[in-house]
Amino acid sequence: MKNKLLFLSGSPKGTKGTSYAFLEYLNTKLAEHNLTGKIVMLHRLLRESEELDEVLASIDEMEYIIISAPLYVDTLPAHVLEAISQIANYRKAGTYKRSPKFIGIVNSGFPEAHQNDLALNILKRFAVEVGFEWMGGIPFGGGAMIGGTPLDKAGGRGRFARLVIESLAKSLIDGTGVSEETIEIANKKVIPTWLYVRMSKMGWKKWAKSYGMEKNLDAQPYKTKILID
Amino acid sequence: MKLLVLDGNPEDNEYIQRILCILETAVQSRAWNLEIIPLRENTMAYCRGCFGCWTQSPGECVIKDDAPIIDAKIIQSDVVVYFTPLTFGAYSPLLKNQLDRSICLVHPYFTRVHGEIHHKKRYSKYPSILGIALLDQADNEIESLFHRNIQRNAINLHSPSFASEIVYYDQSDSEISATIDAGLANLEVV
Repeated sequence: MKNKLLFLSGSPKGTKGTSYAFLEYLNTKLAEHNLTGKIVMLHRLLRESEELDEVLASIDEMEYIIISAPLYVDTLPAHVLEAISQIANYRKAGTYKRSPKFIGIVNSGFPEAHQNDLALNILKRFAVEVGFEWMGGIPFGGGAMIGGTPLDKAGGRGRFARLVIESLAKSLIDGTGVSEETIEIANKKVIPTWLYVRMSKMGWKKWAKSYGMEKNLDAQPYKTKILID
Repeated sequence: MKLLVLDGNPEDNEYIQRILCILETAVQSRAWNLEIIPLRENTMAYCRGCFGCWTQSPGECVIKDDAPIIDAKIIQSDVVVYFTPLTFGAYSPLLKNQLDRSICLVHPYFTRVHGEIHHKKRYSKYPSILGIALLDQADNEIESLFHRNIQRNAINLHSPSFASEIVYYDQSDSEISATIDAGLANLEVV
């Protein structure tokens, strides 16, 4: 399985995104078995046509393709939709010989993991349409607890995220898909929802304060303003 | 009553114009105002996930292209129509891009809505959502994903009502008209 793992990161924040942190930690675990996935940033891929062509051409050779993306407005970010559309166009235009195994990981700022289900269903449909073998999806809530921190540096707040990825790594080594154990861990909450909500509020206030905007959080700029085209 | 159409079709064609014309007739018969925005004609960067719209300039995206102009129109409308082809059951990347860039319309703080955590309102009033998906042929799975998508979006946008309809490429004007009328009626917008 060496060099046959392709990891697609859907965060526009590059190496600072939680979606990337999941894939980076997955590589940390796979390295214990002398395996490494090639991590590709989808938002950059759309700008680099040569790299995009290379990635598209490599898909047929892959054993596993894993996409890790944030939840934006209930589904996948627009640039992720565009990227998977390009993969679909490529696959549908040619004759492919193999069906790589495909896994989706979607993480959201909402604490409930199930809010990612729609995005995973879309990824499943994509997989079926392009001839990938759907091996399951992982919904991960409370992604703000990770906040882009590398999982091995995230301490207690990254506990379940690490366990999810370790469970996923085991599945990849075994050649299987997302297990029930992985899903069960992904649905666990590190802290109760009420505390998550409270800490989130504190976090936004602090962040806005760094811009001098803590008193403007409730601003309604479009209440009366009509922007001229 | 203002109805704003976000046309997420990446290319224009005669059939799309027919649908929009029929929608225009339906809207005018209700004495509503209509504005149609073909998103393909706008300049819009992808969301950077920076949350500047909640922290740096609360309520406004920090990227100054066409998206903030459309955000203002969304919140100032009574109904927003998401008119789009479907991408594996999701909206077109074009429409989704505008919606990604519209999270400034809600507040970063959380609230509970029917037992689930969502972002609280920034404004006192939000538009209803009418989704119109344009498909080559019937497909139960992606249609179901679309209906769920509109429902979830309506919750997060605090829409007073929502409806979602499917139009197919081979339909007659009367069939399209019936679908649009049903969608508008299902919104129960007075």
